[in-house]
Amino acid sequence: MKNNTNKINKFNLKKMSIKSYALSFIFFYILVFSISSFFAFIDILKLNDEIIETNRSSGKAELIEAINQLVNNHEIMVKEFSTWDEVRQQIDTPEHYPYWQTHRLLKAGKLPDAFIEASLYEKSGKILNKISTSTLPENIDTNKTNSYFNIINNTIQLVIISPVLKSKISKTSENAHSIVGYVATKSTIFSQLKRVKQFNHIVADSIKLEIHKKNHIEVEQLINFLTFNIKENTEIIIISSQIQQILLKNTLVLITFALMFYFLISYFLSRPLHQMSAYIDTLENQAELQPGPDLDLQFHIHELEKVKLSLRDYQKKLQTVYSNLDEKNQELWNMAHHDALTGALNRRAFEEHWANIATLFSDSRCPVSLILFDINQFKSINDSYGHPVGDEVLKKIASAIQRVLRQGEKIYRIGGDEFSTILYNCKPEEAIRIASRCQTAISEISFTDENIKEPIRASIGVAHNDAHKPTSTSDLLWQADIAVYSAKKPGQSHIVTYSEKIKSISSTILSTKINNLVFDAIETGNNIHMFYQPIINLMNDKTDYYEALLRIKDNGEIIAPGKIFQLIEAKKLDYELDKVIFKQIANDLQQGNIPDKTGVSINVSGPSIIHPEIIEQLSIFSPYLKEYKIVLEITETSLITNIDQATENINKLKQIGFLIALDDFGSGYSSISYLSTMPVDIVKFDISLIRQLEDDKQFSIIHHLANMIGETGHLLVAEGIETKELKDKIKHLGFNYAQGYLYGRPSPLTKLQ
Amino acid sequence: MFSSTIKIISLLFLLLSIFINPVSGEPVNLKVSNNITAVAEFYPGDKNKPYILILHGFLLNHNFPTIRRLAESLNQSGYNVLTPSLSLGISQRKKSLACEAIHTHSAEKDIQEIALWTKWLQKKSAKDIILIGHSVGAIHLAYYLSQHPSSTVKKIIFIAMPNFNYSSFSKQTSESQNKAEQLFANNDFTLHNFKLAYCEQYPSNAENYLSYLHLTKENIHQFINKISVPQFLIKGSTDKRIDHQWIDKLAHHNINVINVDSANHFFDYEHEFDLLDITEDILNEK
Repeated sequence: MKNNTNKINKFNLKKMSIKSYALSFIFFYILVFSISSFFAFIDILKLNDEIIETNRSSGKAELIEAINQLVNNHEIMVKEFSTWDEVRQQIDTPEHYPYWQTHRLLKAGKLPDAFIEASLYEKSGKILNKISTSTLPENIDTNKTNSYFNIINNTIQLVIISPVLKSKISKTSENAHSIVGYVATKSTIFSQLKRVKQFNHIVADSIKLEIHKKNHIEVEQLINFLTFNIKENTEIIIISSQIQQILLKNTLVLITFALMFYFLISYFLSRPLHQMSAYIDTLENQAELQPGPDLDLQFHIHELEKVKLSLRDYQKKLQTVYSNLDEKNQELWNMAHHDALTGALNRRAFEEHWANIATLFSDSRCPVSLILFDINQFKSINDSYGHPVGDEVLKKIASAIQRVLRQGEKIYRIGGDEFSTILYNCKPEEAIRIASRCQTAISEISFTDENIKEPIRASIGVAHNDAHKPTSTSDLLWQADIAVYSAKKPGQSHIVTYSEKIKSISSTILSTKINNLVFDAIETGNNIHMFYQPIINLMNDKTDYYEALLRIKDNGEIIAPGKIFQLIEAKKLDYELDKVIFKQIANDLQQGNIPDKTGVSINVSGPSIIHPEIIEQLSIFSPYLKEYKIVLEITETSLITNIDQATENINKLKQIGFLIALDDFGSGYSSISYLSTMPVDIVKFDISLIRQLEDDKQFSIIHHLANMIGETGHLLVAEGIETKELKDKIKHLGFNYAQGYLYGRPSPLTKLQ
Repeated sequence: MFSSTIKIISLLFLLLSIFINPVSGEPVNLKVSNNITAVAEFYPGDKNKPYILILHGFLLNHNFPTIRRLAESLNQSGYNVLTPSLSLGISQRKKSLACEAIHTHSAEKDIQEIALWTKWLQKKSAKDIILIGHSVGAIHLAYYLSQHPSSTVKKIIFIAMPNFNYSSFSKQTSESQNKAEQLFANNDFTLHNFKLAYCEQYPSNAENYLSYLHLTKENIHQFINKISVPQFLIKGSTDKRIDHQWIDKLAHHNINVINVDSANHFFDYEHEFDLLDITEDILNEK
């Protein structure tokens, strides 16, 4: 296809207007006509030359005939002259010949005026009387009496010699004759030529001699010394004239035809096409949805009229299509830029808007604030109450935020449970106030229709462009992101404004190296190393089981677990990481690396414990439940988000044989009531609580709390036991297990042995 | 109808016979001197009929129309006719001789030739000979017959006979005659241009010239008087070349003069038939 296009382009002709084509055709036609006329004219000239040549030949023949006829006539006259009685008289009795020659020979009128000389000769050929002025020969050759020409002084003279006969008197032959003498004459012929013949081919007056003097030219040779002009051939002149007239007429007809043709092409073809072309140009240049210009002119050519009507109809249809298409485009734009569920603008709209803002406010000191909303534990809500409920939650939250926002401020849904809004000309305090109002609005949403029991909150991150410390707009986005993450942290306010203080969090999240390591570890299990920390049974001070703790090594160097979990939480990779950890621990169990008659305590993240497939995932430990004590440690915050699902899963796990431990008890805002409903076997007091045992007042509270929990049948584990005093205290408080550096740091398996 | 067809056919045959057998004479050559041959036309006719010699006029020949018509007509009537042409010094002369031609002939030489032709006729027939002369030919015959009387010549007919006396018609003058006579007296035989009869120029020697000038009325009278045979003279009333008074006077010299009204010297047109009729009448006269 591309080749074809190239070929087409290669053979693209220079585009010309139809008038140019018409003119080209006319010029080409005139050229062809001129060439053919030229050749016709050449043919006529050739024919003319041939006719002239033929005429010349005919003229020559004519002149020869005239000469011959003239010679013949003169010969006849001389012959007749020779029979004149007086000639014979002079030959017989020449005694008076000189007188006769002078007075009678030519003057008697027996010979025409053309005869300028004459003389009589004896039988022997000798002249009877030689006259000095005579140019006739004195003697003639009696054996050679042919006529001939002399040219003297540019004059042609015909010399004729004729015998003078006398009848023989005999009885037997009366008609017999004998030569008694000769007559020689000299005559001019030029003047005679015109008389003797009507020349059809020669201009009689043009006959001229080529030489001035020559003696004795045979009659048949004379033609070679004559020049003559050929008459103009009137027929060919008439024919040539007529042909020229015809050519002229044809030229006039051609010019008239060409003008008419040009007019017809211009008026009937070019004009309509030009108008249609202009019409199409107008259509091209105008806005698509504007009504097209009118093309009301009537064309004289049916096809063009049809094309015009078709074009007009097509244009109208096209207009309709454009109109429909525009509506569809609008719909599509709306669909593309709006979240179908909540009606809020979507991430695409956000990004476009954000890109515009980046352009508009890049060099501006105009304060811009960006607020990010992240619904806490929304995944748990989805998982616990189902997606329809989750959807309703999102709708209500979006609606609530939109209500709070001022006119012109829009809400964007930029992720599953993430919303955003951009505020212009907004001071940080005002942004925080708006965020706070949004938070309040969200908290006031009633989810009774959805039967959601736990309160739904949103973590809100605010980032703004400080006029004194200009920040790139692109930075605002991650700043807000960090702020949201920070807001999600337990114990933190749900509204956090980005500041240098929380910037460090971002280093982990944004560390490419850690990111790569974590993602690689999740995908392949590489670099994951499980460390185990003993948990001591205070009854016998023996290791009862080990808590499996994740370590990721980078070139032998262990990365701080806090950084990993910040990233995992930020990226919501809890479940995926847990699955890898489960496999690693199961592998350690399978290898028999865990000491016999002990157990393993496995940390299960909040998102994992409420995950529908957690049972299946943890079933890999089923083979080891008989030999090992396997405890699942669950944080209380994870239970709060979706307690029903968590409870269901925990019950199932308990039935399988797992022990459930509530981890980090006392670090959050969980209440005792939760504990009563939770089907946990072990409660692990957070290290913050254990450390508070130094304070007497706190000691008492913890003492009572431990007693109360212990009385409900729960086993108690104290974390962070680093000293014997602290050990003694917890033993005294009724704790069953202790964990801490006093008993052992988290170590690789090799050190467990 | 039938008779008319016969007539047409007969007429056609008659016309055919005329074209197939036209009247034509036989050319006759007669050597009259050493180097001169005279010519004549002989029309043979009924051998029992007279032989007629018809002589032409001055410088003419036997083909002159008056002579030829008469000869042919008479021949058609059964006469044997000889029409000689005087040679006039030119052998085998075929045409009339121009005045301006060199004239080497003389009246005497003419008479000699007539004598020879008469002899030729006499040899041819030995019968009756009738002489007819036209114009100067008539003078020649009178001259001849006066000089050579012959028993065979039975009649002589002069037609429009002139004379060489001075007249309003004739060009010769007493000066030219005197000049000629002077030259002749001086034995000058060179060529001179004279005037004679109707000729303004007549190149001849004096002797020959004078021979014609001698043919005067007086001499003619003498010739006539010497002639013993019946003489007839036919003249046209409008003939301007003859002296009518003189001719009328000739009637007193035993000459039968017949006048043809309105006829000219040559009896042209319808007078051709008058001449023929009269001639035949004369010939038929016993």
